[in-house]
Amino acid sequence: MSWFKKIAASVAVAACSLGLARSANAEELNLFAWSEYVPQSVLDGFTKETGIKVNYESYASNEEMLAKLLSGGKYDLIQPSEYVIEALKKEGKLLELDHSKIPNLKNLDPVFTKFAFDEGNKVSVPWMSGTVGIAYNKEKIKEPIKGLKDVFSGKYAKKIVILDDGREILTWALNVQGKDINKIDDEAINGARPMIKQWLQQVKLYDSDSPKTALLNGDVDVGIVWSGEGASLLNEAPDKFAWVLPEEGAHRFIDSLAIPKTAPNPDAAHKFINYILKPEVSAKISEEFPYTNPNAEARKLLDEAALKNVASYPPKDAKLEIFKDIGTAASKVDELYTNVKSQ
Amino acid sequence: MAAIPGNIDTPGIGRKPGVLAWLLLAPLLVWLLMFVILPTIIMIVFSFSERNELGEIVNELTLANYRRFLTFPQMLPLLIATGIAIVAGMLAAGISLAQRCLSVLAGPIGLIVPLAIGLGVILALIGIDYITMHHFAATFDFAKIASYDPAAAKASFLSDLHLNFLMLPMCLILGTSVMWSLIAPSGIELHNPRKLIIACAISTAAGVFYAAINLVLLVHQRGVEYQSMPLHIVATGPQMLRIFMVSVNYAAFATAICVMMGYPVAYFIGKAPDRWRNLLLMLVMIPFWTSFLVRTYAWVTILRNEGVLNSLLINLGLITEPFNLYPSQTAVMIGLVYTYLPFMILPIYTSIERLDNALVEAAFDLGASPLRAFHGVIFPLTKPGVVAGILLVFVPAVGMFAVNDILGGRQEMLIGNVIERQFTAARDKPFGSALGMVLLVLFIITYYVMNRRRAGAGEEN
Amino acid sequence: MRRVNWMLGIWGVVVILFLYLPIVILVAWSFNDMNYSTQWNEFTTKWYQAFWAQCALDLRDWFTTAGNRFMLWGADWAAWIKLSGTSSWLSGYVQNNPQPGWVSRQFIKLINWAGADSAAAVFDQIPSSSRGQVRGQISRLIEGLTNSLFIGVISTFFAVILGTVSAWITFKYKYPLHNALRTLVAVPMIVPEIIMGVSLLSFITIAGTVFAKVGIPIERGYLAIIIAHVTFSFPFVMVTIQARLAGIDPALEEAAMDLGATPSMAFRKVIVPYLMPAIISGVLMAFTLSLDDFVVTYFVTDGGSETLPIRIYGAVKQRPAMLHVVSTVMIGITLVMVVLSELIKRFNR
Repeated sequence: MSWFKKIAASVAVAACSLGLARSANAEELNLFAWSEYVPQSVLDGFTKETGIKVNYESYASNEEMLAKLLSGGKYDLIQPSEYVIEALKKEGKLLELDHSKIPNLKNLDPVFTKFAFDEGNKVSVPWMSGTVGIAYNKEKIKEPIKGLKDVFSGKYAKKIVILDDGREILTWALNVQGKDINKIDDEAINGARPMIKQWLQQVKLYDSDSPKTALLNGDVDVGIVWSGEGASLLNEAPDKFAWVLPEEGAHRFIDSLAIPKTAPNPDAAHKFINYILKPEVSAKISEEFPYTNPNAEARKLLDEAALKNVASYPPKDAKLEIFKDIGTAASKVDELYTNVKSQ
Repeated sequence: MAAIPGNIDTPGIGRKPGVLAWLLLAPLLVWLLMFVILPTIIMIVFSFSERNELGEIVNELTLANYRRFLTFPQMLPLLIATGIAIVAGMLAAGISLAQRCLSVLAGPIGLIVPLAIGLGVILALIGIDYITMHHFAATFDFAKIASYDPAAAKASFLSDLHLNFLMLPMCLILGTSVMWSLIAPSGIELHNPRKLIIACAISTAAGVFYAAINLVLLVHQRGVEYQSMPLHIVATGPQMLRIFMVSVNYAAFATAICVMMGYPVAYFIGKAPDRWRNLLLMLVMIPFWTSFLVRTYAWVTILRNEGVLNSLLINLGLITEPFNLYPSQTAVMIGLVYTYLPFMILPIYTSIERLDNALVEAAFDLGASPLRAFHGVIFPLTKPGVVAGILLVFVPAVGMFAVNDILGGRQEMLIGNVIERQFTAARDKPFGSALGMVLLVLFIITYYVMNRRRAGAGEEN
Repeated sequence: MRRVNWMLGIWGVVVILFLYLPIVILVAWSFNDMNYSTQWNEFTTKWYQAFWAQCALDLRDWFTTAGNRFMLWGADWAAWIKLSGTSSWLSGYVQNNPQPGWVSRQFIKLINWAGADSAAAVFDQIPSSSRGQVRGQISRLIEGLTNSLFIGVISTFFAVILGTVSAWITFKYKYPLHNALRTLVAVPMIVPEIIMGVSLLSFITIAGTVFAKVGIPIERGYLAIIIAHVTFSFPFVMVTIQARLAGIDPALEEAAMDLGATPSMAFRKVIVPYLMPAIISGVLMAFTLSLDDFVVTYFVTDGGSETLPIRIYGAVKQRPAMLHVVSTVMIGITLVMVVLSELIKRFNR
């Protein structure tokens, strides 16, 4: 029955020709990074320079990244925040960086090489740094917002977008109560529970990927968002939006590139790290995603307006703290979050 | 196109398999073994394992994952209620349930047996509650948690005791329907209008009661502060079950709406003239061919405060303030119904197409009203299609998390979201597996019950 | 009775409108000028131009390296079956001849002729700060689409073969534990997708390492997605075939064999043609299920193998205008396919 063979053959040919599109590339780099954080032009530029194809997979939270990495994901390069670097380093999951392959390391602002979670950039290289603050619509909200208490005063109920991230939300509550944000135990969690419960009742949207969309579209009036999102809002409509760091204190995060020990292609990963440390490349990332750039040379290339953006570059005296690894307490935070959210 | 899950029992040639036949069967067996049975076994093992700080599985046997939501005074009644909700949702929210009730009421034995079953279940639940609270609490890891206060636990157990009895009527319904679907699959026909009214009243009452129980439980759960309880139990015990309950409610409600919306459409298409029929069927199918995510996403554009619907209504002067439809539970419901409606229409259409027109005409010739013809002839004959549709809609709807993500703004967590979270952000695969196993067991029971009923319906026809 | 029919008709129309409302909105919004927005701004076709331009550019890039990929692919396979000489010759050839081959050059010419470069001028209309992002989004969606098609074709192929053969042999022979087998086959159809997804993920995490030791790398990615798709779609194929088999004359095969056919000939020349309508609807069903699946794929995918639904899910929160364009294009393809299949049906009649 010749048609039977014909069909089988044509399917096989179709499958193969489609398969060619993906299998057997000379060299690939599997980049696992935050969504809305890596410009396509940087990936293209890297491919053009080195011939290595970049597969960019994105995640919306550190925890999600960890889950996929630990369930056998084959990634060459990950982009965790400081406390996750700390945890992964402790468990010996990260590859020690070969500094001789990363000559551009010298471009970094010295401040960013001295953080306790990875002093001297042994396993990680900062990508961008930022804060979590409040962005609000000046046209809809007349009285100025100073801190988290103002956001959750009840006046803006169901007009709020916040990050979909349990630890962040717990941190805000601890900040308002004046407690240590890195000391998370049953007492701290139980103490924060009623406050968080009351807060979450006022929230309209939870979004960690692109909270600015809801603000831009007028779905909500105020948001507690990443500083880069806030900076984009200021860039797009400076008259409409305002940005403040909560007076109660704010969380500063440093997202760094790191290479897992299981990486199939650590060489390409080193090349990528070196590539993004080039001043002009780093500046390009800043232009698209205006977080705080840790690259001193790159900052010189940025224009005046970008450096003046209060969301990107917070004032020196701002009350900022970074997260530390909290170990198993993380699951308690998750339980608290699931529990309060579903009430 | 309409696939009816379940078994089409073909008689087959039934030859004895030789070596070659076994070889031919091997791919199927290997495939099922590797990718259906083995993953399930691994999931069962996971659900009894522990995890380390980073979320990797550690091979250490533990029951903690199940105990996180299975050890609480309210737990078992709630679990049963969830089971009932699934079965009740499956039973097309009433009509066939009422049939069963009526046939049960026909004799005193039929009344006593389910009552006894219900009472037995309740007493067993209380017993299990008591044992879990007092025996296990003393011997297992509850004792390790310093803040555990046995007196407070006992007080809360006693104060919640009455809740167990609230479950009585629901257990009754469960007992009745399960029992009758197992031992007496052929129902009675509702030709008698008076009986029909009684049946409707009973099913309405059952529905109202079901809703009321839900309400009581929710209010209760929100009102009581379990300050004295250990954190782990407070955090997950009742909440997880509430989430189960809410998810099942969403799915059952969406299924019911799908039946109500889909049946008339399927009937209309099935009875349309030939040249229209294919076109209409195509019209229903085309949306089904485009990605449901894209279609769900389009609803955001429609339902937003400044979206299509609200601006239309405002421009027409019908309303002044926009409806807060996105994100909301209503939006999630619309999304669920929208996503699964074709899955309901198609199997019903298949069974309506097979429906012998002569039977319907005969009913009319004998002077039946449309309503009477419907409940006497049309519906009983197309019931297999409805049952298949319910399975096709209800089962995926319970586990659906994407619609809730997009249209619900992540305000409420459904069981699908929780499980998804355990495997991604929360990195607690053992707990996620445990939740998944419970869901799986519930579905197996449901499927078994449905299959028995359908087998019965087959004999009946 | 007539009144009832009228009411049914009106209800039918209302429900069909309900089904089409979002689709109409999607198509309309693909002409909306504003990016990242659900608000209507101004009519434009620039997103379509951008889509076409990016398609053409990506395709050209692909053809520029296609021949080499062919070779490298062959080198991979040669290495796998331990023909190291051939393998190194092939990869050496690629290194020495980096230029595209003749066939690829013709395709590149065709794309250039169609005006890929002038079409790319549309990107100038997009503000420079977001230009790269928009192009990246289109590329990602296009890649998702090709992934979906690739996985759909392969998994449909295997699902249909597995489903058809299994349906036939379980019809022909009576195996012990017949009912258990039937129930087992039904499991993937009745289990909620999420449970299937997480159990397959667990399987890959654990069993993947075991299989990697014997040289079969089961990891998240294409292979895992194809396995998952075959697993959930072949029972549907099997059920469809069984339904058709129910009407077959059991003596049909015997008659063929009496006339001198071997069992495999009888299967190919008598049974398969009889089953053809069911096989075709099985193919359609498996392909649709594979294209539309989100939940199971979500758990077993990795970055490079993400299918269109996963990419769409990723893009939904940003609401790029491009999403509407890709959706509209997909709806268009579906419509064309449906109309074509109807025409073929008519023609055959």
